[in-house]
Amino acid sequence: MKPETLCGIDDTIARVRRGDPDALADLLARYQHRLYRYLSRLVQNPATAEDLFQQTWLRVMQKIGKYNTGSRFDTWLFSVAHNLAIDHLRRQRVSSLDVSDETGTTLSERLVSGSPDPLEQLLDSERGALLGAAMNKLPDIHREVISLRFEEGMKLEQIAEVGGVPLSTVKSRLHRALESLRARLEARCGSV
Amino acid sequence: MDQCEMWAGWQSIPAINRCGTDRTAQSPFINRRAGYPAPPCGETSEMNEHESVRKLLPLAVAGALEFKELRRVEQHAHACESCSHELETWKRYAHALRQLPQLSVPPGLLERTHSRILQHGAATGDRANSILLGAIAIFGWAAGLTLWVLARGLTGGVVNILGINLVSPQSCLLLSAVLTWITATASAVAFVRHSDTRSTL
Repeated sequence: MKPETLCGIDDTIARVRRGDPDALADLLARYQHRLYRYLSRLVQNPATAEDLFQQTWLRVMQKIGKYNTGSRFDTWLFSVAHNLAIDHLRRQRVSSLDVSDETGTTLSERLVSGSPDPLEQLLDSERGALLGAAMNKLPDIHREVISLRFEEGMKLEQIAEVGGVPLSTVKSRLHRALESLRARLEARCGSV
Repeated sequence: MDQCEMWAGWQSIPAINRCGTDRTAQSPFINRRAGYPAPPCGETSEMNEHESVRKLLPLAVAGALEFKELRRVEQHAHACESCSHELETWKRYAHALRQLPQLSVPPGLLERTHSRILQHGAATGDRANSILLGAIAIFGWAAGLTLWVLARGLTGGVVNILGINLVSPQSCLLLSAVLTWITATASAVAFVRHSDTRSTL
């Protein structure tokens, strides 16, 4: 049984298909944080992420009738978002080898740390900001695979489905992404 | 062929027996692939295993390895201090990635998104309704014209009721005008009611 079924996602989707506005609001609230975080990580611009967030849900509503309830909804949702984001990035003609951080301090300022101790909060914040900045320098596909694996906790099969690539490609990208991330951090900060 | 000869053959140099010799004296013969000098005998397979496991470490901490591969990494790391240290480093990276500060959703994003979806749905519905009304109107005209032609053909062009020829061109024109007014009035009423409903939402 899919974990999502236990939370009534299939019932919510059925209600959305029948045009229930409350069900739509429920669906939006359920996935807003994950989806926005993913898009923000991918396109590195809050305004663009918000626009893509809305476009994703518009596309979902257009295609909700085609969603197969036998698969996971979050995987399907993220695949829609992925396609829209990649189309946007291609239009922007962003170089995959030299991505600049458009948000800079704005992104860092919007980060929230979960550590209770003030010193730990500061250390966590700095560490997180460094790591986040290094991630922002990665190529889009590397940044995406790290975000889906470590932030969203998706399985490799799900990541493959979101990106429309084979499982071997996901593993290869994950490996290169982690190596690249570490190399950038060590170049900046020295060995950990 | 022993391992030394195989190693030398791979390096494209004359096969010589390096077994037991000091590694630092072998500087002209560098393994261009791994940057290591040519190893003494017996260590080639261990080095390959070592290099092979080190390449798996990032995927191990990402949970991307099969059980057998993971087991192999753990066993090697248990015996190799260098790889054990490296594995711990990768684990710290993985932990930090899982603990990245959360990006906050902009205030009002849900409401804006919900509103945009409803507006888009209403616009789509309006377009669909307009197309449907247009199709019904055209169908009505075509059906009326067809029936008129059939009626004239079947009746010889004369159907007198109360002194009025109902299948004459003039009668047809008058009937069309009445039907047009009825259709337009009904459409206008439906449009106004729909606009009231949308403004209420």
